Amino acid sequence: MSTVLTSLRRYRRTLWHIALPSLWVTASAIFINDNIMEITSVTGDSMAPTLSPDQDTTGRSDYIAWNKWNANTSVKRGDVVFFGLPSRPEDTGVKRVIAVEGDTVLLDPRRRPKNGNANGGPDVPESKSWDAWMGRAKVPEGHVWVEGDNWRKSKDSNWYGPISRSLILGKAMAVVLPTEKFGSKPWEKFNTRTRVVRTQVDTRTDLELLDALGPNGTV
Amino acid sequence: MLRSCLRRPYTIQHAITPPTRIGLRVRNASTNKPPSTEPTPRKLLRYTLKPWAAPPLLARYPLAHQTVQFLIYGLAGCLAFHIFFEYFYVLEGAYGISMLPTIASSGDCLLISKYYRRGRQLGVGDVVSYKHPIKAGEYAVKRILGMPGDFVVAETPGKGVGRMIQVPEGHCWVVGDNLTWSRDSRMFGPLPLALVTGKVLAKCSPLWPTRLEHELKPAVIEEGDVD
Repeated sequence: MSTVLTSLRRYRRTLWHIALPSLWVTASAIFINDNIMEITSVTGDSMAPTLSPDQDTTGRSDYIAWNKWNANTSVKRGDVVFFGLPSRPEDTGVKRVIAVEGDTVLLDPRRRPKNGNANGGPDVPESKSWDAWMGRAKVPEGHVWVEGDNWRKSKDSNWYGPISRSLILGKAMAVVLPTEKFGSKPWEKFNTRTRVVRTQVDTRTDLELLDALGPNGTV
Repeated sequence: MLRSCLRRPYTIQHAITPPTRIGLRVRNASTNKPPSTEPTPRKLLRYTLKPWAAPPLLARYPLAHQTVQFLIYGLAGCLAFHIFFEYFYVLEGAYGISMLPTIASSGDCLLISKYYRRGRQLGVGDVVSYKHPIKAGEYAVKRILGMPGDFVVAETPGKGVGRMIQVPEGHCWVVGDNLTWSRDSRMFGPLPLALVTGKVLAKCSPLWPTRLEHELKPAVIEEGDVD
């Protein structure tokens, strides 16, 4: 016991100056990573050429800073989001939100799930469930429809259906690497060809609704 | 700077009257002039090589020093608790009738182990807590009935045709113990395992901790159930 105390006393300066600051840094880094901001790389070419355009040729992927503060409360159409995959719980995916709850997505026939290249290939089991939507997919409550920018090679909501909004972990803030693109937001000018019938959100207050009541008592 | 904030203000006198050098200040010793408060270059550089020897920053204001010390220890405590609750164990209160009789409708505290988050080492019969797939921001507690690949009855047994469904990859099927009054996978479909936050190990109701049993048992039909 006394040897432990003497050695502690001898290394007190090391403890105080190295071990404690490293604990502080680790704890703050973990807290910031979980709740405020995280930086991850985007692998795969489902979001090319918006993100990671050179990955197939040079092997360099883009690094994005994700905003994790209240990420799943204010998700809007057009946001690029970072979410836990429904089919593989330990992995994450990066896609763009096309429709939010209540919208109806008019499915793009180019994005029909099939095995192989874009020019046609054999059907996969997901093709049947895509056909079952009959071209119009209504996004249920609490869910969002996500799609990758690269329609040729993207496994998105056309494959696994709308995802729950609770799965969303972060929204894209800015590109960090490569350094030429630092601070840019290349996803902002993208126009998707998938058409969405937006839900009619009634924003009138209760008093305005009362005033609008017609003679039959209906709005 | 953090270290100098946390050190106790032993050397207040040392900070206010700088150490005299033999032979230099003997001439002015009788004037008793207070030392100038503007930082001279000599004062600033004195502790660059030995920063641990410097007096604490707020040595002249012990009350402010104590407050800053309290705040810094408070912040450290908050960070430590956050990491413990996020990655190890947490106690949460549970409200609702969907898990009767296992968990009471109110007043029970559940001990949740975060080791089992995202479906790690979970099996059929485990009581898990998960982020609600429909109401984002809310959490719920139910029991797992099927893991990926299992076939489960997608409706309440006895009502309906008994349609079976195979749980897809990466999802699980959760039901509440109180089948009649539970909103679970029979309503919102298979639950993605990425939404599972942990496994409920025990409950404290309210004074006595009880371990939860993670196994399926045959249903008990209470007398007087309204159909």
